Amino acid sequence: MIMWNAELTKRLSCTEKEKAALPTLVTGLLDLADRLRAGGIKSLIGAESGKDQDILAYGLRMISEGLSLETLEEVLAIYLATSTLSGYEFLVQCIYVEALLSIAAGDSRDLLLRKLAPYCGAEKAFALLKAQEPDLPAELS
Amino acid sequence: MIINSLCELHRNLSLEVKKGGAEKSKPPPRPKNAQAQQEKPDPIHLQSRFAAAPKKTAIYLELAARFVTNVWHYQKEGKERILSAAREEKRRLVKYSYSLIASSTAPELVRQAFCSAGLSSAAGYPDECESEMFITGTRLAITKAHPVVIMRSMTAYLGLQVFDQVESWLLEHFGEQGEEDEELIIPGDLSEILSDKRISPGQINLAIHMAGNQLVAASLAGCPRHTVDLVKSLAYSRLGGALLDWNIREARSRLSSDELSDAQSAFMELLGSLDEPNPAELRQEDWSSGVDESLVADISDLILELDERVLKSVVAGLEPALLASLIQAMEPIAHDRLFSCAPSSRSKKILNALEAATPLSLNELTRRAQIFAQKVLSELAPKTRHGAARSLQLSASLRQHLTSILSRE
Repeated sequence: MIMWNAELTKRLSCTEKEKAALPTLVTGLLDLADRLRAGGIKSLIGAESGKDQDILAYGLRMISEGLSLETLEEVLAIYLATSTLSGYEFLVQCIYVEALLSIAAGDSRDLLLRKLAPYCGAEKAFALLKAQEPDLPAELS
Repeated sequence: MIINSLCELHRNLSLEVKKGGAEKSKPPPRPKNAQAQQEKPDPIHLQSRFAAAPKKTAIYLELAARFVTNVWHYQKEGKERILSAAREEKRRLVKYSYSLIASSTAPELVRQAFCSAGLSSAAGYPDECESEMFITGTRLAITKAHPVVIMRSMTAYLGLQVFDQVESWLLEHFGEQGEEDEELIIPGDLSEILSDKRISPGQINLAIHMAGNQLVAASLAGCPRHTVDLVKSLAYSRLGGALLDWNIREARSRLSSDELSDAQSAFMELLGSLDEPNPAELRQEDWSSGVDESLVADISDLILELDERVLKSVVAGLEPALLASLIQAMEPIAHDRLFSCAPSSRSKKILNALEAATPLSLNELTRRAQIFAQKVLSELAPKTRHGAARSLQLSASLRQHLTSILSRE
């Protein structure tokens, strides 16, 4: 079940124009997970150094600390909830955290994609799925 | 799903009004270390609204550290320790936390208990950051969480700015165990499988993530120390390694030998399932099944039977791309022999060529196998004019493999 909170919804809201950048972000995270599957978590630590990628870099370090999935989710949620960000910037951080949790759970690439795609909005999510999986039936659109 | 956790936190935190010691305009706290101050790391993008001035942050960290240390002693020595800490504690909020832990309050009632005592921001407590830190810490302490988990969760309210500082403190206090545990060896193949170089670090990491901490600890509890160290080096930070050791100790004290053995089997099964080919590999397998099996056998046997010196010269004298395409038509055991006869730099080139290689038709493969066989013959042929007059000294089986390859059309 997905919970709903008006204040959080407001905090996550951003324009369609801003959301246009999300599929690229998700594709980058899929690549990151692929690299992890090939070389392990230690091959990624220190590799993510983008301006807005603190949570990704620190999150990977927390995964290597062996924190359980529940603890990781709780700690990352605290970082997000208490952050000063809102709008698109906040949404991006949420996507990073969702990706971290999926990586920590050992999810497959397909599952990671399906967890991240909904953050792009229904239409962009389908386009993203279709781009990643060309065999996807057209009637799903 | 992170959205659910965020919903819950948004319900509990009063996000509109900033309370407590935090002031957004103040600079984030810097580490005490003078050298670290000079290096001036990039500012953290994800700032906490509770990020406070260094002095205030230091107070929060000191409170959390004291709490976690007392909880650690309580976990090791029993209730009397936490009662004694409660008696000595002057701060009302912290004292109250200890009393809730000592009375084993149900974890889900902790927030409500803080609220009833007027110690949550909803009940008017002026420092929301401190209150939230201790509600979280108390709840985790009651569930017997490891101090590392408690400290990480409590200090998350202060933001990523204190992450490294907290790590240093945790390493100092929980990074090393006093004395090394005795090994407990449960007979099984896990140790050997993990040491097998054919299993990639990525696969081991993935299996660890899929299995979860409990199963990983139980699986490793019956393995020799070097196996545990190998896993730590592949998937855990120093702090993570200490936490893994703690979980292993827990597993050894809690589980029987049979249960540890079952855990090993379950983990091996999980690792094995990651070896199953993905659809792309299956397509490759379909193609492989179309290769002439007798050609594969001839090439493989030729490589296995050749004198090491001769094979080394052949490998050194052929293009990496040709060797890479031949690899598509030989058995794995022959791959190993071929690579063992190539210097590492050349092996790397062959592997690169292999990555770029596309599946070849049977005719193309046969042609490459014949070039390989001719090179073998030229290496075996006497190099002096004197020797050229003599017939080649070849074993019957080598002669048969070479003839079989070279006579193909």
